[in-house]
Amino acid sequence: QSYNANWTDLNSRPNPGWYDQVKFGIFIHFGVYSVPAFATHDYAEWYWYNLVNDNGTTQKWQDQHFGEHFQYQDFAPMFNCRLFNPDEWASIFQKSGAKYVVLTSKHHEGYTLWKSDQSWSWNSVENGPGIDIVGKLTNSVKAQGLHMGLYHSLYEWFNPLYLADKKSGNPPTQNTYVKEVLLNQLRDIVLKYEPDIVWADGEWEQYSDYWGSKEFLSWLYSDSPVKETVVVNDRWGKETRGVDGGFYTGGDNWQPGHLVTHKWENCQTIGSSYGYNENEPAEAYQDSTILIQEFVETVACGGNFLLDVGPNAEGVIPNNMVDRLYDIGKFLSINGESIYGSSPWRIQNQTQSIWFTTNTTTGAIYAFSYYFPEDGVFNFNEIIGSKSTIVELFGYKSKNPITIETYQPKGINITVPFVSPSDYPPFIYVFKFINAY
Amino acid sequence: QQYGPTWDQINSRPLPGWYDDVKFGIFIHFGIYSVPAFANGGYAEWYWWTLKNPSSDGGATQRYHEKEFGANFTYQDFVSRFDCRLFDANEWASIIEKSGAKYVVLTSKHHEGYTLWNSEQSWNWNSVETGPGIDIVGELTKSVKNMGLHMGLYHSLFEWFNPLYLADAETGKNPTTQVYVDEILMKQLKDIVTTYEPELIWADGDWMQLSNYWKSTEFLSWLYTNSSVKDTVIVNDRWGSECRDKNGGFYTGADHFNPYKLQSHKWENCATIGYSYGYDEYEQATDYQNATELIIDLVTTVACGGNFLLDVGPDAQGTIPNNMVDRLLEIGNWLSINSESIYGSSPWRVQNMTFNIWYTTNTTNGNVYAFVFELPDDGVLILSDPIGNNKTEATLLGLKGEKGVEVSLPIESTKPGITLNIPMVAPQDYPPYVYVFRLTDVE
Repeated sequence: QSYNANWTDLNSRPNPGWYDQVKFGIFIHFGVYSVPAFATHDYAEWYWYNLVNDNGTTQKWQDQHFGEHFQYQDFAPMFNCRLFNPDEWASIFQKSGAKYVVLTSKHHEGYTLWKSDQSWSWNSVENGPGIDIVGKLTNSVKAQGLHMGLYHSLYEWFNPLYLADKKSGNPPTQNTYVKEVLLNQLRDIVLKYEPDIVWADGEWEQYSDYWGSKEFLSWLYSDSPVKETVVVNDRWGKETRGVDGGFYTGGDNWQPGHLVTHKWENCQTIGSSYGYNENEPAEAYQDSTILIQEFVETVACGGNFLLDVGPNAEGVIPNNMVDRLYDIGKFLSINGESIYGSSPWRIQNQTQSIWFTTNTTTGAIYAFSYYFPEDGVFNFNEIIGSKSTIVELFGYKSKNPITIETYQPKGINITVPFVSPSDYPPFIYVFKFINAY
Repeated sequence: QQYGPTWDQINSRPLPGWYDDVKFGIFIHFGIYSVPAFANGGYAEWYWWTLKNPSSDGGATQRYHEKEFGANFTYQDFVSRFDCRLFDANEWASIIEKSGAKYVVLTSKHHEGYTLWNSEQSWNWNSVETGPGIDIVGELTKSVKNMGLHMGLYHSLFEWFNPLYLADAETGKNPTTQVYVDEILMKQLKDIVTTYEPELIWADGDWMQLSNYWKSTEFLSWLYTNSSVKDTVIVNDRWGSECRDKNGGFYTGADHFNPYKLQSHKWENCATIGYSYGYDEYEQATDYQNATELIIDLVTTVACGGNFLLDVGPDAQGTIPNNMVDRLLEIGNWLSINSESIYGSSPWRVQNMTFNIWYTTNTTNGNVYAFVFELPDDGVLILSDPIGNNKTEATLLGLKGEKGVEVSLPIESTKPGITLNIPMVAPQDYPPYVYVFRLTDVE
């Protein structure tokens, strides 16, 4: 199949089926910004931009911590990754129940986590850790049976070639940066690492015409070694978000709360920042139950949940983030069939705390309740039951039976007995309905 | 009150009452060892020792050091990396206060000899003149006291590699010289007491020499008789190789000491969340105990008359890792619900019924508290030890009925003991972690 370099053609390509099936991925923001690891209230990965543009807050912090003559490039030798262990990372991701990983091959700072000829001396092999992080992690993730994806920023805040293009006009009348840097890098990561996802970002300053997005995607879908498996997002130009590309991403932490007919993804943080922020206190991190609720709501509305971790400059994923990932893995080990391979049901939610998915092959319906009702009676008004309806509460350990009452024309009440707290499933309550509609 | 420099006299001094009342403290291991932050299954704070004594860990630390830092890198070279640039004493004190801990013990000097205050006896090997340029002891002491908590200082009697100590040790099995003690140890101990007025002196590094070499009784005589903290200060029992569990203030046993039975003498369980006291970068998420496990350790300690001293190991930037903070905040949540069963409590006439059921009592009002780690499936809890009567009432702390009012549980007298009928409720209505029943009018 060939796809020409126009959005109509490109948008006609179906997303590979694996992506919708897997539902849950891990986003990794890792780069030179993991060294200063500082932001006052937003994203630590924007450190360099803030250093230049935030009226002095970050500069003041840097002067205090690193001295007045220190510049951002001086952080690269401190990006030592000496504890980086890709097998360990991949093992953590596998235990979290995630099925795909997206690593920042290059964020807006331009520093690449692989040896890029277009980023000479500003990459993780020649400057800093001396490690092909993209290559090593790709190998480990694939060895775990997970899909590997690469985030790649279209623009670079301070790349002089990009700045010269930008200065040439609005829109730019030249595209030296794109021809000399961006497209070469994008092809390089695809050919070398064969990612199953290319996650574009940094698109908002220019249209997709400038970025050469359609030409790249035409090659990616038609000629590249991953043409059969690769999926991309929608951040390929300032006009394309929610309109063109593969899955839609909305804004960061996007949670529409309703069914979105086009495949979409919620890229979510545990704390506030994607990149590691040393200044985020323990209380700034969402707890596992809240994250699971976000995840469920996303999947119920047809989305994938991409949860971010920010490793530190030594290459360690902080243990409080790992704790959350393991909790989600525990949730999925109990309730996995309600998530993996599921589809949105005919109704996404009954209230803000009751959501549904279905398995279109078996016909099973899954109801997720965030809370246990005070009287023990779960009321699912939208489900049509019958005498043959069977209900199971995943992770429920007591021998005291759950009872069902079905109503006409619809509605099922499920009474779960009050039992010892250790007999209840953890986090949230997931019911499986068989022979219900 | 005068206490002469003999163990008989020193041991006769009553322990200040605050210590037994407060039950829960935070131990902080922080020093140069927080920089390499490595141990091969042991304690990261022992890095320098294992580096120089490869037989102690099969050479793992030595190999790690050469790989990470180079064979020519000395331990002293780490000091410039002990930057503490994120150290915020007020933030630490706030975290500790939220944990429900009432006292803090900071390593003013561990066996590496590096002091966290400007010690003249440790010239150019202290946190003010090298490394962070911060009087960590002073700043934290001020913040902890401002938070209304008791401040304590750990101090190592020996220093692995101090040439004065090594020269003393060289003179004989029981050293015939005490230059190190006279010139360094005694002066440092008096300095930290006089300058910072700690309410707890936690000695360690005792095991190589008898207390007479360390001049422990002379120091403690001064501490109890003449020092500015003589009325409030408490000490532990690690004042010489013969002293542990015999001489001093509270007894510490070995690290992580938890006998699970009543001890007649006041004691302390110094526990870790992970394995190491000092920060170990290599400890993974699953190496850290969860909050329930830690609370069980606290409960079983207090029920047997002990204090629970839980350690945190900040990193070289001065941050307490967030997963450790998570645990502290969770313990604080549990204590906010169950505080009356812990603070100011005493061991009951029976410490436990099974491993899952433990008791404390309030000797003022006679309440008995039963700590239950797992509730029975049928809601029928048999407590075979308390003797009930027709006035006996039982309440599950943190279980609220309508309008937030505590609910008395139905009780049956059984022989022996009492039986509580626990109302089975929705999972979010159960109190978290460990269940605490207040029993009134029982014997």
